[in-house]
Amino acid sequence: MGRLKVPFFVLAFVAILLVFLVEVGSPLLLGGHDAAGALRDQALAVGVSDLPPDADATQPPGAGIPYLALIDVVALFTVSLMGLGLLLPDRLHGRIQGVITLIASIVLIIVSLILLIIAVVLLLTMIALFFAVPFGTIAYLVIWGFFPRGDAAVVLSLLMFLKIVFAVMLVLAQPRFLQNKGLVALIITSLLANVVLAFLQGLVPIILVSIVDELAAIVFAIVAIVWGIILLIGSIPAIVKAVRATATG
Amino acid sequence: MSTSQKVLLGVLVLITALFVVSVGTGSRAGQGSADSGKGGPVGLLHKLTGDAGQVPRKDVSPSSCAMTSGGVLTVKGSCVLHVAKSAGATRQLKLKAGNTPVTVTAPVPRQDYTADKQVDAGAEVDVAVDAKGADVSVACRGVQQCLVTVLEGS
Repeated sequence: MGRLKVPFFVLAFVAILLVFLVEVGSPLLLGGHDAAGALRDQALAVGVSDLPPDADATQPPGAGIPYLALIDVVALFTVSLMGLGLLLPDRLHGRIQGVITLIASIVLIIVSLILLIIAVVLLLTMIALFFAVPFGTIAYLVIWGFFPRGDAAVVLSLLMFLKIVFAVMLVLAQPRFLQNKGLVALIITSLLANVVLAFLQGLVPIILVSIVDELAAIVFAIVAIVWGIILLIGSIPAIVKAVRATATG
Repeated sequence: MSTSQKVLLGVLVLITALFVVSVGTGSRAGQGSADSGKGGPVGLLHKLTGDAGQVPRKDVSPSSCAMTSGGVLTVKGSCVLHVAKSAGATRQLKLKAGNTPVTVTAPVPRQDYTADKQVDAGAEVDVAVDAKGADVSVACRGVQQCLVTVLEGS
């Protein structure tokens, strides 16, 4: 099996870092285009014919892709921790690994919980407005009605490519990573989340995509909380070991 | 290549194929309309979450028209219904036209403009009102006096 091949490992790190950055920055890439024409067509369809000339609508950025970052940050954190092992002495790395993981997992759980609550409230608001024809429907359409599905598919395809590059580079760096069941499960979770989001965004007509996108965001926040708990539990033996080593040494 | 590596490679290929199919079939769903939400996953979500809360009659104060205890408004020309603020989220004011058609004008939630809805005789209309409250205007169409009922909420 041999030693860790550092260049491949660095490429894997860069790929997952890019994944995280693209996900977090996706609201700047997606949405913002004018959809006033489509709004007037939809308003007519629900019996509202006299929207004022300044009634405007823009494409929303969506929440699903940014929420993917809650899952992929776990992969970024794991690889960063491995990379830290290359830079720090084994003794020091072993002692701080558990504490860093504990803090990171608690932060992840709290952030995911807050974002989960925000997403649930937003989903309930969207549904309440959409089904309150016609005034609520108009409000829904103005804010969320014209999801940029094509642009989102491009971003998701880029993310999928980067995630595959990440997985392949990691295996090329050290084939023994495949024996790490947690890491393999995390990568499969991340890839499946991508597929689920692409599937949901394509499942419904455009004016409903924001609703299923928000639903996907809720699922991703829950998955991130589960991974946070797994990290939290996993950090405990490392902390106990570090404390014992400090006490005896 | 070991067996586990082959299995994982197969999983990777499968996930990639699923992704390509998901993205490829996405454009078939089209633009949609307000009726699109009646079925499918969004319709199911709506069944699970229910409608927005209804505005109780006590939160509605009409100006320039009288409301009976049964919520019936006698509108002479037009009438403005002031819906009180609420602590919660969006609520729905349910109105029912009497035996003549009416025009309902209400602010669009979260926007700074109003929209009109022509309501046929005997038909109901839901007016979405956000937490800030709203002034909803009801006007008779074609007649000087008409009846409108504010349906009771919980």
